[in-house]
Order: sequence, then structure tokens, then C-alpha cells
Amino acid sequence: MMNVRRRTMWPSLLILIALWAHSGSPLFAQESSRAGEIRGKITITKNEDDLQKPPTVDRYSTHRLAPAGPSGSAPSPSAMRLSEKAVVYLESESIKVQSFVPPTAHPILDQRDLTFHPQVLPIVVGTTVDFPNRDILFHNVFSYSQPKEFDLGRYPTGESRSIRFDRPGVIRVYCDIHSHMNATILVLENPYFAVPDDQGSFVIKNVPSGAYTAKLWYGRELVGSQSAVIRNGEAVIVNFNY
Amino acid sequence: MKRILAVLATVMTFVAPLYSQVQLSGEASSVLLMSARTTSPRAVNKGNPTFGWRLDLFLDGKVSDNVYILVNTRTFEDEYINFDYVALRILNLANLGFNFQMGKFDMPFGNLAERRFPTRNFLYGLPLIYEYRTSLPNQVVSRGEVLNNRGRGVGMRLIDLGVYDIGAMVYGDAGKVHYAVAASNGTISSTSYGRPNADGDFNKILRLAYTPVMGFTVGASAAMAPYLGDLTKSLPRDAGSLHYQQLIGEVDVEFSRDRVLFNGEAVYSQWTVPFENDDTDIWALGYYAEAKYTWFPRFYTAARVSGLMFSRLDLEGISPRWDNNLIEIEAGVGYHLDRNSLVKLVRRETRTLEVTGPHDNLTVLQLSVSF
Repeated sequence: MMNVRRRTMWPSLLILIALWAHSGSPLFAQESSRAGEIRGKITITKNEDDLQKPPTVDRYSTHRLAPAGPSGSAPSPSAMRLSEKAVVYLESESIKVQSFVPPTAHPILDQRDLTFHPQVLPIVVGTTVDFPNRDILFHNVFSYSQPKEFDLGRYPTGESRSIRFDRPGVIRVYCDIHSHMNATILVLENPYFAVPDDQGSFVIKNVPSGAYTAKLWYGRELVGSQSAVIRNGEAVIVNFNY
Repeated sequence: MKRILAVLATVMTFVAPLYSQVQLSGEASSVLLMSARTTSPRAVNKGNPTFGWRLDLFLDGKVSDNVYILVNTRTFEDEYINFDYVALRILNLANLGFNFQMGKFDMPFGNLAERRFPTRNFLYGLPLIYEYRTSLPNQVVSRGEVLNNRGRGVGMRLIDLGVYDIGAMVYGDAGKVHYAVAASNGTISSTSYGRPNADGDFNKILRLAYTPVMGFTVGASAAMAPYLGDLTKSLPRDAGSLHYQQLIGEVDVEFSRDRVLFNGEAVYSQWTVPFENDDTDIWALGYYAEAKYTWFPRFYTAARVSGLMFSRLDLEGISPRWDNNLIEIEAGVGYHLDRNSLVKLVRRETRTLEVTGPHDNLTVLQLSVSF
């Protein structure tokens, strides 16, 4: 009886494996000739706010050493480029249930010139992010966002702390000492995202065939959303204007 | 409330557009207070539970790259608006490498800094050296009056709250050393809040702070000035009011690392008092140490030990202290509802040392929001 069952299960198992591969498993998607790409250009025309605008002046710096520059002057955040504040990512019901292997390399959310760099950091679920302090003063990075609450405490120049993000969602990151500092970590369910270059061009490669929603995150919020369908490994153009 | 809105409307309508860069921010807090039923000045509302509120507004006006106008207002439930800070700040004055500030602002004495505000204060109250009114007023008094005033909270503080005073200051950094030199109308213990200089001599203030490593700063401040700001009573002798000086000095430390923050301060003040028969030097010593530890995101605990000690005064063969020695412990927990909202539950116990005095306590529930 057992032999009969074993024989009848093999065809079913092979069919299941074939279906799994067809549905866009990353294991197969990387090498599949059906994988396509989404490319496009982001055009920002809206007058943007200074995303990490520091206070004009530190009132109570007269009691201690000033953090930078002449005592009590406003800190000078380094300029934020488009590649540091925009992300395009894909969402799809068909790939939502899959799990992707997170990268072993740790993306970095820098604390530099009293500013977080980048302003927006996209990662896939399960990724560990490093938070190095490259300023000559303390920072205290924290987040009260539901997917991952953390408080890294105060640490000096040259030291770093790490946090692993195991749940998808939007993580708002702040500094407890410098209230103007803020950044966003997008913990995504799949690795199909891209950071544009400073001219706004982006490419998301190795995208399995299927229907997707392409989303543009800019600064602190989601500002654009478009449908895109990949068929037979073709390249699809998606442009965003904001 | 109408006055607050009127000031806000005036500022936003007429002043703000004058500057290329104006920022308005602030914080509001509401509090439930329950204290012991004592006659002590540490009791609140005679021990009857009461609510209160506080509103701080900060206006920064950037006139040019190195010139700023700074305004703070502070308002309590009595709706009286205090203009704590109305100052003109010039950075790197004439490229000389130091900064200049003039107007009304917090004098560079001690390291209270931002902890005076509810969202930055780990606990509820300020340390005794900033809050407690001693039995010595800034006017001519007799020995008997000083002794009768013990524990009644009618005199000067050691450090007058945030030391907001009218004056001018030069400050800057030299390597790891921060320096500030200032002159003001009042004294550290009795600021000239909204009044001209009473005695014609300024309060002279010097502060130095040294930061050898990140997160650790030691500082020291000193000041001297005639302290008899109220001359409604005539002097017993012909020495002149400028003879009666307050000399005050303090040392402080600030340390932070990981999830620990620590602050400490010790103050010594001496006054030359024109008593009825002679001029007498009396002193007071105050201190506090406070710490905060963040256990996990949103939640922290904090505690402070604060004390005051007073010298003895000769009076007909006995030598009582001119005010009662005190010790106070304040401890509490804080929870951040979100990034801008903090709720605190704090308990404070105050005890009089050496003599029998009231056993004061205070329980506080405070919600603070910054915007």
C-alpha cells in the first residue's frame, strides 16, 4: 500500500515545484529568462521643505561647549541629494507571501553633520542596519514605530549600533538630542526596489513576471503609485512626477 | 488666555514677516498635583489636589547669517505672560571669534540649560537650589526677622529659577573650554525681573566649562554683586548699599553615555548682611545629583537628591541656623506616548534636618507636549 502511494505522489510534487518556480521564486527568478525590469525617471517639481531643517539657533549653548561652528550657531546639515531621499519599490499580492533571504551586508544609516544620511533607507525584511555616529557629538537614535521600537542610547564618534528589522513597515527614526534629525527606514517585503540616481533615473532589475504596483517614497511620505505589468521578461517604463 | 493669543497674533502678524527666517515652536504641559497638607512653602495649594498648566513659546528670528532675535514666553495658569528671553545674539562679532548677546536671557551660571522645560526635565520640579526660597530677602532685615522667616519661603533663592536677567554677555569656545562673561542688573539669587538696576552696580558673572571627552563636561561659575535690590528700608549704617555683596560660586558636572544621563551641581553663596548691630557674613550651601536611565524605548526612571545647608547666626548666646537645613528626594517614571508627548509620574519627599519641621511630599502626574 505504501509503495502505491509513493508512486502516485511524485508527479504531484513535480507539478508543485514547477508552479512554485513559475510564480516568481527568487531562487528561479534570478536566472529565469522571464524576469524583466522596471525603469523610469522621477521628476520632482514640487517645492520641497528642508527635510531635516535645524533650529535657527541653540538658545542654551551658552552653558556648554557648542556642538559645531561658532557657539550657538545653527548647525549646517550637509545637502541632501535626490538619491538620499527617494525610493521606488514594488508591491504585489503574488510575491507578498514569499520570504526572501536578506543581504548579509548591513546597510548604513549615517549620523553626519547633524543629519541622517540617507533620508530614506529601503531594506528587505530581516536586514540588519548599522547606525554609525560620524559627528563630533553624541546622538541618541530612537524609533517608536510599531514594526520596531528601539532606543540606541548615546554613543560617541566612531562607534556604531545595529538593529535587525524583522517586520515590514515604515520606521520613523529620530535623534533624542537633536529634534530636527529624522529619517525613514522602509522595511519592504521583497527586494524589488531601487534608489534613483541624482538625476532621478532608476532601474529595478530581475523582476518576475506579474502585476505590480510601483510606489514612490519621497522624503517623509508616499507620494506616487502606478500599476505595472511585467510579461515575458520585458522592460516596463514607469515615470513619476511629483 | 486672551493675552496669550493677542501676543501670538501680534508677533506673527507684525514681527515674523520682517525676518527672512522665523521659527515658532513651544511646549505645553498639564499637571495634577497632590501635596501633603502642611504650611510649608513646599506644599501646593495647601494640600488640596489641583490641576495646573504651563505654556512655553519660543520664537527664533534670523536677521542675517550671524544675527538672531530670540524670544521665550512662559505662562502658567494665572495667565500672566513672562517674557523670559528677549535677546539679540550676534555670532562671531566683527570676526573676533567670540559671540555677543544682550537683552534678557538666562545668565551663564550653572548647567540647568534645557532641563528647565517640562519635556527636558526628567522629573517635575527643579532642584532645591533653584526653587527654595530662603529666609533672607533682598532688603534690610533684622536677625529676628531672618530667624522668624525660617521655613516660610519669603526670601531669595540660591539660584533664582532660570536666572533670567537683563544684561549682556560675551561667550565662545577655545578648544575644549567654553567661556562666558556676563553682566546683569540683578544677582544670581534675585534677578531683576523686568526692573532696572536698583543699586547702580552690575552683577559680574564668569563661567568656564571643560569637555575633555564627549559626553562629559565639568563646569564652574562665579558671580558677585550688591544684593540689596529693595531699598525701601533704610540701612542701619552709612556704608552704602554697594557694600552688601553676594558672592556665589558653583561647580557642576554633566555625564551621559548609552542610556544613562547624570547631572550634578554644588553651590556656595555668601551674603554680607546689614544687621542692626553689625555687618555679618552668612552662607548657604546647596547641591543636587540627578540621574535618568532609559530601560527600553519610551520608558525611563529618574531620581534626584537635593539639599540645602545654612550657616549659624549668633543671637543672644544661641547659634541657630539662619534657615532650616533641608534634604529632598524626587523620583519618578516617564513614558513617551509618542515622539512629542511625555507623561510623568513623580513623587517628591522633603525633610527638614536637625529641627522638627513639616514632612512635605508631592505627587505629580504631568503630561507634556512639544510642538
